[in-house]
Amino acid sequence: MIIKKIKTTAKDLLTDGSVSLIIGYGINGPGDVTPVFIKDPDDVEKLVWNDQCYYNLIRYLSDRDFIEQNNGSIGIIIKGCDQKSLKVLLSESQVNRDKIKVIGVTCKGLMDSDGNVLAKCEACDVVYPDKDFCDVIIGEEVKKKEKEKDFSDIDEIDSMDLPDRKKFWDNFFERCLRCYACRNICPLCYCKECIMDQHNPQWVLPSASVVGNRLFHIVRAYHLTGRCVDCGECERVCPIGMPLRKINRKIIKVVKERFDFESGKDQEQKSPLTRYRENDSEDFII
Amino acid sequence: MNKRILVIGGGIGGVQAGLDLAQMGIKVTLVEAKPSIGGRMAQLDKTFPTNDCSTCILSPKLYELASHPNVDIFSYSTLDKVDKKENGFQARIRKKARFVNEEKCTACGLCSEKCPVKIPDLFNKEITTTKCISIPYAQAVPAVYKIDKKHCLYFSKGKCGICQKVCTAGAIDYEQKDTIETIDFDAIIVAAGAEEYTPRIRPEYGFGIYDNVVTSIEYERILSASGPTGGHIIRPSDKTAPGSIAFIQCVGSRDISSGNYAYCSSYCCMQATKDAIITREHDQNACSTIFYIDIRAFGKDFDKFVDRAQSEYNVKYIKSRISEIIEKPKTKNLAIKYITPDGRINTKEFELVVLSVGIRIPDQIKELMTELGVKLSEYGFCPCDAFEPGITNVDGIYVCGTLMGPMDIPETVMSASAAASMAARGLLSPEISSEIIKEKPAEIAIEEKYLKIGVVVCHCGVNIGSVVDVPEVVKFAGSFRNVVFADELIYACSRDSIKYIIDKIKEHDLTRFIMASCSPRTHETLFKSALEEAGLNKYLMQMTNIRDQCSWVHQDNHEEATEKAKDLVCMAVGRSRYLQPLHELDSEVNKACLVIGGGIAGMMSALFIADNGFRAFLVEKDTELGGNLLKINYTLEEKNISWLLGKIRERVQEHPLIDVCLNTEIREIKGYVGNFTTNLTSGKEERNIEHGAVIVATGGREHETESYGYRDESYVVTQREFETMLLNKNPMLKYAHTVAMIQCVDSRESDKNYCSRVCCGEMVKNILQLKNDYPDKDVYVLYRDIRTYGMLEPYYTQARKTGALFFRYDIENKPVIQKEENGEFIITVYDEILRRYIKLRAQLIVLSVGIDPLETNDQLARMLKVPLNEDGFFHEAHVKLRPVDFATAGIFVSGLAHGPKYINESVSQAIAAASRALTIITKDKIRSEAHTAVINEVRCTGCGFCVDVCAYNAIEIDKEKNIAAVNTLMCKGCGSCAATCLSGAVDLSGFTNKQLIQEFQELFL
Amino acid sequence: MFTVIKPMRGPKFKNEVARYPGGENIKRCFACGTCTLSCPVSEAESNYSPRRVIHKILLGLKDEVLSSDEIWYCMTCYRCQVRCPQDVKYPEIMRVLRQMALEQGYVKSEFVDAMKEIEKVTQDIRRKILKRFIEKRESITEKDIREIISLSDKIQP
Repeated sequence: MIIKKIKTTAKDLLTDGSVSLIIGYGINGPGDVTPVFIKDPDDVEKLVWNDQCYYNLIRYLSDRDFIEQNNGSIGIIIKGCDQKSLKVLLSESQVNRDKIKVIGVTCKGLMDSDGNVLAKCEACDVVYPDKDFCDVIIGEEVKKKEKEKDFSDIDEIDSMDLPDRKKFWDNFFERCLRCYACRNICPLCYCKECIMDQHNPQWVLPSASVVGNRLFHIVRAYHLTGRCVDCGECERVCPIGMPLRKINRKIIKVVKERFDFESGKDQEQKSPLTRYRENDSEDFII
Repeated sequence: MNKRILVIGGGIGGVQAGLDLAQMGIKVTLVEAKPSIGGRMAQLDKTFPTNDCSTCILSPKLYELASHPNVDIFSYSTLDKVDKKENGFQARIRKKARFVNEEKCTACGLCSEKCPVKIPDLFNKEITTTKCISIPYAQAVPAVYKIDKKHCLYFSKGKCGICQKVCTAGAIDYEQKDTIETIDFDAIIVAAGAEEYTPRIRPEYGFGIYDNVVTSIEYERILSASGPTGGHIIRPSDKTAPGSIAFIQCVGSRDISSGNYAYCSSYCCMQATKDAIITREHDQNACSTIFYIDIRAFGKDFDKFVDRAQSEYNVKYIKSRISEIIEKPKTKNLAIKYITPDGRINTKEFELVVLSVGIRIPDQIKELMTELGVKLSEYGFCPCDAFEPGITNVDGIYVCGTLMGPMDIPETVMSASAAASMAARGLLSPEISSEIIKEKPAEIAIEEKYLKIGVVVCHCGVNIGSVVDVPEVVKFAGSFRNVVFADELIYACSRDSIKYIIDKIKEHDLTRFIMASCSPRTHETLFKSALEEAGLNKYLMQMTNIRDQCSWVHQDNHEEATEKAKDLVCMAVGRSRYLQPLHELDSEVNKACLVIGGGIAGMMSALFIADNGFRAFLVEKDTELGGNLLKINYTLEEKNISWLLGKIRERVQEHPLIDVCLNTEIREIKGYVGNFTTNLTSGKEERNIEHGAVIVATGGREHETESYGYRDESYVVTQREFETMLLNKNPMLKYAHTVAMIQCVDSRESDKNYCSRVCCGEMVKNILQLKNDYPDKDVYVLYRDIRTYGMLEPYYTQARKTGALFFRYDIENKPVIQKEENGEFIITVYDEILRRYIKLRAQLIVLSVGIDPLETNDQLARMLKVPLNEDGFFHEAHVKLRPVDFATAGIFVSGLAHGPKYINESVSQAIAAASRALTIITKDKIRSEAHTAVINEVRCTGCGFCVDVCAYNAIEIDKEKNIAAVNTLMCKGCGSCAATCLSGAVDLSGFTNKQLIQEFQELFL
Repeated sequence: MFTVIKPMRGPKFKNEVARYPGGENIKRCFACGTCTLSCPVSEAESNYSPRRVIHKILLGLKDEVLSSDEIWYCMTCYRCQVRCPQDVKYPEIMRVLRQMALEQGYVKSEFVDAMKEIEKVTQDIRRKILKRFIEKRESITEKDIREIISLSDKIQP
């Protein structure tokens, strides 16, 4: 049983001193899975594992304050999608690999409250986290399926003519509250001072107007170019239900086509935007 | 000791030599016969293999030279007399009268516009006409017009005089006389160049008879956007765009019968390829065919360039020299007969024919050299000894560039730097710094509350004034908050105007200055020094271009041009509010140089650094100096390499300023230009050395082949081994009645697609030696292209005369070798002339295996943070104009480490690298850019994106703080990092985010 | 089909040719093809290639060359010699080869005399065709020319 092994692993790591903190999933009430932070080996009973373990716990590793307060080694439970975020953070020198113990868990897919498998899980290609990357793997080995990513919903929007497309997105941009939940939950949005918060110069209008919101989402997507791994958290936490994954996946599609690159696969490779190769496509230059 | 050197010739060679000398602290007088410097390179459209625009890469060097305080340029000048003096020379320089005052002319162009007389345009090879008063081309340096006295109506008939009437600067002076200046020099560098000769020597090609036959240089002018056709490829007869173009190679070159042109002009194959590619880029329907004898694509990335031409640009290469060209009277098309690959004769019609003519030394230059006492070869060039490039038979006179022999731009630049280094010997010393210390008034500290902006709007004669309503712009500028002074000037760049500006800055206590005028390219330095004279930090100025980007491009729309000028001024004023004083950083320079590699290149670099008075560390991992040269016995020109090598090793080892470190490896190199620290290890010993520059001369190695049975057969050898066999009269030779040589082994194919450059020359050398020692032996050579370029071509002729037979083979049909029972080899190869397979019997097979880069290049490259190219050789900053530099400041490369080359080319490059290193270590201090990247440590997350995009390795992540750190000395202020940073944690001083956003906001808000 | 190139020890054919006045430059040839392209004979007879003849000499195919008809086709118009960039002097070499062919018994002396007659007669025919064309100033076809040739003995010079 997976949860048993998780608890045993956690307990062992804490007892033998390999880690001083375990970050995993716990219950905060019926049907409410939350992140849980365990320091005492006896508390491992709080850990759970089910198809509602939505949170991308990697978020905590790029939170500077959190790391400062917990400066011992950290054991962290990750799903395959979380692993991708971690690899990107490693490529950008944001996480000290020596100070974490990666506990990868086989995840067969998350479900929403209606019992439907999440869209991002349907397209998952890392059911089984990388053996040579994780310190511990829990769960049965699943052969990697090399799936062709399905971008049909992106194509659908691309096929809309511009006025319709504008209407589609403005419908959401009008309702965006600028709560910044999407930015705050994203593990890759770790800037000490987010560009959206800067005043001098002011890059983006801070108010929750359509104009400001358009720019906010587009700039954020651009800042994630070649980095976003489609963990889907942003869309999950959005209070107004904006299909944020579509924006990021559009860019993921373009990056794959132009640079043949997928983020989160190689912890040595950063976004292709900073790399120059002689045969890079130049069809946008006359 | 005058510390002044005369450079004759203002082409790229003269310019490079002049720049290097000036940067070493030596005064330079450059004399150029034409009205402006730039030479033939200014006439080219693009340069191969990068297809850079020639003028774009050349003009910064021209401006740099012209504005260097150590340089005096005498353009439109000749040498009346040169006398040898005790410690140098004395030259009488005649500055010919242009009839235009150089100080007053602002190159506004009005005189030329109004001039009624048309004369042949020599710069455009007489394809078109220009006016009697003219400037050769728009970017000419100096930008001064000139009257052609012969055709001028004023001088011939006393009439006209229009130019003088319209010139608002009062620069026309019909009374101007030639002036003579007599100057003493320590040495002379002759960089007079060569020129394309007329193909009338081969009248069967129809040049001068048929309209649509042009020379390569004429075609360059046609292709050029600033040329007579505005860059439209149109053929002379009917001005239509030609759909089919033929390039005829070797017109007059490799040609004994039409004169003394037995040599190969070396660059024409590449020039034709480049022109064919550019033609196709202009016009997708234009098809080019190149008719050649051998494709001489021997340089770095040249073979790849030719391959691309064929695969991507549909250029056809046909191996057939052309016998004659016939014009079709109705269409004026040209019919060319040629031999097809399968031996048939075909005729094809072309709409345009370009003759690739070679170069020769013009008579007047031959005369000049004779007057100077310099001996020329039978071909008119001035060749030099392999180990003494640039040295002539006259002490103190050096040569560089095509005057030495046909060569391309990088070789010219290298030989020019080498000549500079040679000429400088005895004139430099570590005690004397080469920086220019200018006396400046103390800078006034400005207090932020005083924002007093001054604006000057320039008329630039009629250039701006005739289109933009200048007074209106001035009035508009004066309406801004904090603008306390706004005025107009006719010519802001004139001496009076500069004085006026300085006075006004002081009078109004200005703290910011706006100049609305021409491009910063022209006079930014001038205005900056005006600010300095006034005591204001020179970075508190904003120039806005209301000429090139406004009045010049909106000549038909005065109203809107004025509005645009107002917008531009408004933007500049807005930005200037946020300008801050900037200062260049000075850093001490360690006046020593590290040379990595003790082969011939390393040794020559070290010798020239040391001969010029500076310390050199020569680090060699082997137990002795000499590198690959230890295995070479003789070259085509030098018979006793080991003796020469011995002398050089002796000089190196005995030189008090060279620290020879044998058996030594480099563990780590830290630091930056002017301040490197290197950790050396030798066995168990360790040592740290400090130096200001690095020269990489680590060499290359002979390729190890598996082909043609080399590994197993003792009678299959390389050219290197064969040379030694000949030297030692190896008994194996007795048995070999027939020697078969195979060229291009493992080279110029899939994963090793480069030419090793030296193999054809080495093959010829060995044939000559073999036939000299054993005249009765037979030699067969199987080749793909014979690349005996330049002055090697006559040796190839000699090799054929000895009776060696040459067979061409295709890469798809390589020769096959079988061994017989008696040990002899049977080589089966397809003879393209007989059109059948032939079997040759040989007892010895000699392979040209080429040169490979060292495997350790990768490690050293990472240590120094410099790049390698696709083939594994070190990748220079710019393949044409910076062939020994890296983009990272302070590090240079020479020899085989850079790419395969002959010994004399390695030596030339090594001395050039020494020259470049000297421009750094002759300084006491090195000055950084004022515009450098600045890191906001609060915002920086240490992600490293900025490090990835920096081309100059000027930014690093501090491992302890996990924050980016900029090395201001290496930063060139390009701004890539600032543009890339996601958090806005990097800013570029002088171009800050705040300044730029303010500028845009002024436009829209 | 393969041709085996025999190594020739001792006197070699190309050296032999080179020793005759006019043949000195034969080894200079780098097979650029200019001679073949200049040659009026190769325009009519596409298989005639001066370049190939030189190549055969250099390869030492003495028998093949001296017994061939190729060495007799040359009109000695000297166009190739004017155009050759390496001054190989093909017509001179042809003269040398014809001399060698005669001296070494590949042809009889009557043959050489017959060559002279052929030259004379073909020049005569050529002149008659030209004269006819210049007189009529009409365009002329191959058929016309062949007709003139068949009637040539009836045409007055």
